[in-house]
Amino acid sequence: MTQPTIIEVDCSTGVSVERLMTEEEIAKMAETYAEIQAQQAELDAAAELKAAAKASAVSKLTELGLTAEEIAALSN
Amino acid sequence: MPKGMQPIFTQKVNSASFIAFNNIPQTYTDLLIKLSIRGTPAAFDSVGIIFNGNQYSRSRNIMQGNGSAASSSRGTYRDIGAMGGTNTTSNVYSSYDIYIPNYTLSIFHQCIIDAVLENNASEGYSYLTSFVDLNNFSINSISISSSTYGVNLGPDSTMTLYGISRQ
Repeated sequence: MTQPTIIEVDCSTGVSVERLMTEEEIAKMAETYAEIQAQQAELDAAAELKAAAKASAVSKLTELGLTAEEIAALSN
Repeated sequence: MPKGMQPIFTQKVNSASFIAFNNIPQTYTDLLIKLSIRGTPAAFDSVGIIFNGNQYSRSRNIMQGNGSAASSSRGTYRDIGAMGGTNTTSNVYSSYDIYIPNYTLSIFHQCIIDAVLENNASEGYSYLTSFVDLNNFSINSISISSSTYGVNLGPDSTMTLYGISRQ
């Protein structure tokens, strides 16, 4: 991949400069990306657990004889 | 007389990956950013936004419609909505309105985004996105990029930063 470029706008002077990103900036961005991807994975895992628990609850309520409309009414 | 909404700076892009609005004047009440933007890959991508170079401690909610279904998601990453690339209709740019209230205060910052990815095909997207940035700082720098690391924005993508004053 070509080295990414950045445009820096100084809003106080109205001057914008385009330059190649430094190695430090690229490394920091990659590090942050990895950390936040890990956070997102945790969030996704928690959402999957919640969805599975909901599906299980709906199944049990169905076995108890509740209709789909009655189950939907419980969650609204 | 109130100053109302005033343009601070408009930046046009040829091929850069990141655009940083630095040294934002602390003399307005709110900020509004209007983006008309597309990516260079032949694939859908997302737009990302970062305050003060820090993309940690964020909680984001997206409601999305794509013409045939609606969905929602939560996340912590900087993406705020999809952006078309060369896989979408030529010369059609995705549009975003990004509103940032009370940006000069050192508080959590709520941000709301209204966006649409137009495409002369069955697959297009509309978004209502919000996030809270939990960093407790006043905002003096805003960076816009593709949410995919290092991807160039398409030629003639344009972004304008506005300041909005109550008085």
